Amino acid sequence: MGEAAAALPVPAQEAAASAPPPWADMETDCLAHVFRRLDLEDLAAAAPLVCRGWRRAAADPSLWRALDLRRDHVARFMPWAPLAAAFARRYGVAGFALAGFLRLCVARARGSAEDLALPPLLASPAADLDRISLQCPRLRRLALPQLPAADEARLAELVPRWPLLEHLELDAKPSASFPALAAQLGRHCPRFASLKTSGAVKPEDAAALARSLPGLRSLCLDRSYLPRQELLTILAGCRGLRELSARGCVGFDEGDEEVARRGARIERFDVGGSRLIDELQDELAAGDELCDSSYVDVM
Amino acid sequence: MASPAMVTLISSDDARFEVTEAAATMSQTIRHMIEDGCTDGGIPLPNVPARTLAKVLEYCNKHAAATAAESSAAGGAAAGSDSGSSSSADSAGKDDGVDLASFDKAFVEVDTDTLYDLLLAANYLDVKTLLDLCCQKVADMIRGKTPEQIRQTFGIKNDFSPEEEEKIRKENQWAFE
Repeated sequence: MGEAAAALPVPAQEAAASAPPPWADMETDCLAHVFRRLDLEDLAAAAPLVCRGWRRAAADPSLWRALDLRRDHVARFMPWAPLAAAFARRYGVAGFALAGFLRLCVARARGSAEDLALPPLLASPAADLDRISLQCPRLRRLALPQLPAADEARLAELVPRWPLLEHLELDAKPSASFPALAAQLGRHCPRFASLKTSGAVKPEDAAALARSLPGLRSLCLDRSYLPRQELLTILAGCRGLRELSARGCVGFDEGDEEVARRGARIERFDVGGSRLIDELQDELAAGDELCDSSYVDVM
Repeated sequence: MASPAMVTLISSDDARFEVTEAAATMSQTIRHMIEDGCTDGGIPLPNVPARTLAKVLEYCNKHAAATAAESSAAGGAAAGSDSGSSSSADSAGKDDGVDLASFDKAFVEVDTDTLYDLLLAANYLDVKTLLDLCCQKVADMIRGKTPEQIRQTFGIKNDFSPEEEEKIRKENQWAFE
C-alpha cells in the first residue's frame, strides 16, 4: 500500500519561482470554511482587520449562526477578557460588555442566528431577550440562564417569535409560568422536540408537559424535585420520548418498578441516582439544595 | 486476493498518477467523473499541479487503506471464529485510529504555501475530511493572534486605506453605547 504515491514522477520545474500564496485573495467560500472554525473572538476582532478580502469573508452572516456566549464566559466575555482589550485597542470601545457583544453578534448574523446560549448573571436580561426575540427569528436552539421572575414570565409571550425552535434549555425551570410556556411551545413551535431544565416539577407542570408537548422526543430534568406521580404523568403523556434523563432527582426511587416499566419503551432512559425521600419531602421542596447527598445520608 | 481497481489521474502539468479507485473516490469530484464514465485515458484535473496532487493522494492512500483495514477487521470480528482473534482485531483497529490521527497532524505540518495549495485542492476535489483538516489547521494558526501577527504568518499585505481604517475603527462602537 502507498507505493502509488511513492513512485510519483517529480516535475522538473517544481521549484519554479512563485509569488507568495495569495491568502488575501483566497476565494471567499474557501475562507468561509476556515472562518467557520474560528472562535467568536477571532471572528469579531481579528479576521476582519487583516485585509479587504478577509473582511469581506468575515462579514458572511452564516458565520454568525452559532452564538455560544456561555462556554467559558467568565474568561472570554467579561471586561477583563483579552477580547475586551482587543475591542478597546482596535475599535476604540472603552466599555466592553457582554450585552454589547451579543448585540454585535446578532447584528452580524442578520437574522440567521440558529443557535444561541447565554451565560448567567446578565446585566439586563429583559433587553437581551427582546433583542433576540426580534432579531433571531430563525433560532433553533436556545439556552438561557436563570432569569428574574418577571422575565421568566415573559418567555411564553416571546415564544411565537421563534417558530423554528427545536431545543430549549433553561437553567432553572420557570416556577409559575411553566405551563403557559409549554402551551406556547406546543402551539407555535411545530419542530419543538427537546427540553432541558431543572427545578421543582409541580403537578401542573407535569400535566402541561403531557398536554402541550406530547411529541417531545428528548427531556432532561436532571437534579429536579420530581415526585413519582409527576414522573408517571409525564411518561404517560409524552409518548414520543426517545430520551429521558432524570438523574439525581428527589421524589422517586431510581429502582421504582413502575417507573422502569413505563420507561422501558424509551431508547435512552436514565434515572440514576434519584431517590424517594418521603418524610422530609415538604422541607426539601422548599429548600434549594435538593440533592445534597450528605443531607440524604444523615436520614 | 484480487488486485484493486485502478484509475489514472492527470495533473495540470500533465503528470500521471496511478491510484486505487478507493483512494481516488475519496474525492467527490473524481467520484462523479468516474460515475459519469469520464475515465478513458485518465482523469484530467486541470486545477491541481503535480506537487499538490501527490500530497493529496498521499492523504487519500493512507485514509483509504485505513478504511479498508477497519472494515476487514470489523468483518473478521463479526465472523467471530474465536474470542482471541476478535480482541486482537479490536486493538489493531485502535492502533490504526491513533496512527491516523498522528498522520493527519504531521500531514498539515507544512509551510503556508503548501497549506494554501492543499486547501484549494481539497476544496476543488471535494475531499471533505482533508478540507476539514486543512481549514482546522489554518484556523488554529489564526487563533488568538492580532491582525498584524496574522498578516505576518500568512504573508498578507494590509491593503486598507487610512480612511477605511478609520471607518473600521468606529464601526462597532454603536453596540456598546
